[in-house]
Amino acid sequence: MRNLLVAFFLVAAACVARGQAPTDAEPAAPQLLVQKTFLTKEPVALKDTDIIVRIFNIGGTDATDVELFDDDWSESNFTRVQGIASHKWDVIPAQGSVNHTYVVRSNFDGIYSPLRAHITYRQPGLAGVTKVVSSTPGYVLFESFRDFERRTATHWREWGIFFLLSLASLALPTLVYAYYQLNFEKGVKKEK
Amino acid sequence: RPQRRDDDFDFAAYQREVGTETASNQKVLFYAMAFYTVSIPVYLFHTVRDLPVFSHAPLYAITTSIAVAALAYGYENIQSKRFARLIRTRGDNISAKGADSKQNAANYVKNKRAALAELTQRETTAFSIFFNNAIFFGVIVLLAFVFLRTYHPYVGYFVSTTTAAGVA
Repeated sequence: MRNLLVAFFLVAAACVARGQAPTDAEPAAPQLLVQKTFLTKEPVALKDTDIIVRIFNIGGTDATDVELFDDDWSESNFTRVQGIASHKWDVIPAQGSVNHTYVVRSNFDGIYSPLRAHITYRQPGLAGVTKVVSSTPGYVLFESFRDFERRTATHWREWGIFFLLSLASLALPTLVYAYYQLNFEKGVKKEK
Repeated sequence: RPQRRDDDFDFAAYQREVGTETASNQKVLFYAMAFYTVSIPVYLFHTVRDLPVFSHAPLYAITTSIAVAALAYGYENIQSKRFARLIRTRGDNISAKGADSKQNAANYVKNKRAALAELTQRETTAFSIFFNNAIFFGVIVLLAFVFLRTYHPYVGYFVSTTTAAGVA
């Protein structure tokens, strides 16, 4: 009885799997996965930050009329430097991918949570559009420009001032010692 | 075998009274110079390593105190050793030749040795300050901005400054 029940469930599972698996005559519908992330490793306020949106079609057929909408980066906090945050593609082939990049500049420093980008596309055989959203890089810290400069600058001016100050504490005793070395020999003043 | 001198002046006692003991004004000079020298790297830590002076005053006060004491001791140590070595060799060159009379010979030699000791003291003081300062700056720059660069600025400042003053 137990073996009969096990056999029954195995057959039932096989039938369900076969029902869900695509047949050779029916390719899988297009399925888009979208990644939105920063190309700039360490975003800094008042410096250009590169954004990239990668769209992967992991389905079995082409995705058509693909549109990208990214209404992130409000003008009060960001300045659009290069490129636009929206784009259209006629086709994204099956198992293919496309990238879209643009550049923004932050006007503030601190933590920012980027919004997800919205993508619409058409599937063959369907009347309407399919909507998907991208991933998000999560909370991003925009470092202040002053801290970035302090961390990465060569500080030539500061080292120059340090050199002059240290020279003062070295030059004076050196001059005194040199005077005695040049004008005296074994404690007796040299005759000119 | 020690050379026979023209007078019976106790040179060792003279050394103790005039030469090897550091005068009080010389101590003031050492501590003032040590304070100035230890204060110079503070500017670098304030600007380059982002360690503001006023918000980290206790750290700066404690570290500066330790470093000044160590550096001033280093000045005194180098100066007294070099002075003792030099005055021993230079004192042999002094004789009563040139004195007006035999009666004034003792005073003549004593005055010459006092002048020699003063000159030697100035010379060795200058050398000691230069030598210790050069070592201090070299060690602190190497430690703070090369070896301890990835450490927290607190650790970098304290370890580099006290170590440099101790080595100097």
